[in-house]
Amino acid sequence: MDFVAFYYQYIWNLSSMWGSVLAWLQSQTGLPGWAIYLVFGFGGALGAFLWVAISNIILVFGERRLLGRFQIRFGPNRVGPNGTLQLIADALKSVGKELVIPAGADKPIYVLGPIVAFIPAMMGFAVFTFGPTMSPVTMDIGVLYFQAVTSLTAFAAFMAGWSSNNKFALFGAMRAVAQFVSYEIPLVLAVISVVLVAGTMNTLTIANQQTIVYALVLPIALFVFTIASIAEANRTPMDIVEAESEIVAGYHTEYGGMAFIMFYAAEYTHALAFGAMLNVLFLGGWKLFWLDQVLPPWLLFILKSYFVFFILIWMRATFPRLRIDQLMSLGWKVLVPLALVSLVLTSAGMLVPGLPLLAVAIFQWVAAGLIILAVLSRLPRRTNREEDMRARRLAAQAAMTARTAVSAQS
Amino acid sequence: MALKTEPFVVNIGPQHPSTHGVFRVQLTVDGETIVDLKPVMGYLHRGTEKLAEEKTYTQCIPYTDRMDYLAAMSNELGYVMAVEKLAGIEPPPRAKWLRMIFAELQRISSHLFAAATFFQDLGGWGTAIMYMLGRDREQILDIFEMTCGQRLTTNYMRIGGVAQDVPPEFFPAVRRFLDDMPSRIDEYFDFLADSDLLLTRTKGVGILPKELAISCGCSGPMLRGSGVPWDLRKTNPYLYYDEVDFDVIVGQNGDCYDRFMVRFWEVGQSLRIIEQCLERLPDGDVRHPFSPDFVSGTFRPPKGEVYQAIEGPKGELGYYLVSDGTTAPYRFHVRAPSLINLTPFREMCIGWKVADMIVILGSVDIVVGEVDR
Repeated sequence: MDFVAFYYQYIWNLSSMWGSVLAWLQSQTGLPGWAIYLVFGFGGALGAFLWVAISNIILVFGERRLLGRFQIRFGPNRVGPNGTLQLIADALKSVGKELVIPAGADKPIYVLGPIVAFIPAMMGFAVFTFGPTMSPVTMDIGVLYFQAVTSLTAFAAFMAGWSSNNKFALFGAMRAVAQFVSYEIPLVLAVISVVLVAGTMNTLTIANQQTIVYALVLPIALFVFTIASIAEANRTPMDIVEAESEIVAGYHTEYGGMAFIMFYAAEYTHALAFGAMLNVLFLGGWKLFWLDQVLPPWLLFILKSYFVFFILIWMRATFPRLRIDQLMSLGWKVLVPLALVSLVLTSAGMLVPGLPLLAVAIFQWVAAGLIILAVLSRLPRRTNREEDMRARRLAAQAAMTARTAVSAQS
Repeated sequence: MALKTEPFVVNIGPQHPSTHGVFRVQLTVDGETIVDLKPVMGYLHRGTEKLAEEKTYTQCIPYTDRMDYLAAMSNELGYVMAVEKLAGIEPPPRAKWLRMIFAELQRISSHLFAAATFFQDLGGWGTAIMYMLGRDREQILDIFEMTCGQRLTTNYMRIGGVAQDVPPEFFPAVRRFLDDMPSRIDEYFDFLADSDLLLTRTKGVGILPKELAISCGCSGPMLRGSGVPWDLRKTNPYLYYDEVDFDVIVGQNGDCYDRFMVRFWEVGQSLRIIEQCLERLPDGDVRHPFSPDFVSGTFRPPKGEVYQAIEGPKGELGYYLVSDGTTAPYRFHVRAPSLINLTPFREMCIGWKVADMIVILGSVDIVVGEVDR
């Protein structure tokens, strides 16, 4: 078999390669069908897990290097070529550490915390669409499943924070519950818009249907989803759950060694999961202009998910974080209404039979434009550099002359 | 349903990422809201004032460096001016102009530090730190290094002048700094000072009313942020500050944003002062002819007491010296602006959230070395 044929048949579609391997296995061993099916499913899960594990390494290292670049410094560059082995060294160090359980901690819950944090974040990966037919599990309620499992993280944060018997951890836990539960709502509402347009909750179908990416059709939903998923994934500027300048490390203040690594990995897995979900729902999964004719779809999917993550890193290097009450009011007073607007517009569009997607998109964009205009007109005029400085200087001069006049009189 | 809640006490510090050293705050919080607060200090007490009573007047200079270790030049300047006032010594003009240049460079460096850590306290992940400290402040420290061999604890001022004249490469370095800074200030304004997130977090937060600021004895950017144009360089000029042209910057509301902006614009004013100092820097000696005597430990100022205050980066930095005619001061007292600016800290914080307490502390801009001495 020549390379091109091999490429398009197997490299292009890893699940077809895995299927061929299994078919060969069956022909050789004569295993029953259900056993083969089990092995097939296990292979898919293993593939997704490997991707997450490798991604975590790539993303943590990439984030550290990129943050370095953003901040005119180098980042880790000592261990191994260009610092690539830095994370291995860090992991080894962490594994070698003792797991200290603080006095007064609720031991079983304390130990369970990091596990409960990592597993749901991992479970979301079952429904991602790595290619037109490639998905670890094809599930008709894929989107619902994803939302359900990823929202379990709130439990982990609360378990860890409460059982640690530490006041900073308690702060983190309270913030975590408030934040995660509040942002769940706009997130789900934004997803419903997509589900309405796609007519299905199957992630594979949603991704395949996007001849025109939903980011262009549903701009409001995209906005709400992005902000809410930053909050859900607990990334700056909404990382108040583990705000290091306020509450040290939030709910995992008391964790060290491997337990801390679990939380750390869970955070990145979570962020990657939301990046990948944004990719599936709004950016068409594996589609990318003409490139999807050349490169295998799973590679494109991975690269696009990394790109979304890159934006998160960028934001982290740029923004200060919000305060808890500001975060809550942003969630309830801005994002929920916006998501509802998107939902109403989309459902209205869906009521008309045979309405082209373009018409829905135009309605959405007009609405988005109106909202932006309304917000801009209500915003106070932005301060101008020269004006601000002049006002402050003039105020000082006026006050000084007034004082000299008073002292001259007296 | 009414939930029964009760306030609980949480210790922020002494080992905490955002207390700017070993400063401890005992917070009583109701949920996230602060109901009471007690600053606890003394973890960095090194007995500087008592130690100084055992040293000769010149030996005290490096001790002053270690108080506000982010503004060593200003500390030395205040101290040597107090001794000069005590002994009636007039340093040569070149030394005085050089002192002004270094004091203003130090003010810029200290204000940049305050602004950068302020962003860090807001959760800015160190980007501002790397730009303001890793790039801009580094230039200032390089200038200090080429002048006196030290970057942080400079030990450059001497009684009756400065340690030595500046090297020839000093002028191009300062020139380059003066040329680079204005565009960077514009950049910081656009990206940081005018960003919506910063405005949301700091506008109207931690308001310090004018009357409270005055009655608590606040000074420096803290007082000016509340709208009182009290700047010792204008109101009580020393060195040649009455001969250079600069403006006093004040805030309008006395919130964290105003305190931050006062520092921010004062950097620009300091650049103006340095510019004029460079123009007017005369040739000549940098040490008073009697200066070598002061180092040898035989310097005995006449009996008496003196108070000399300068406008340090953090506020009114005053030295109260009592001489009994021996080689060591009988009493050495520092009016440390960091400590006194903390007086209204409780009033500013009560009713705000825990996250705001960190921001307010950042806007007060303390250095624990100076709070505890």
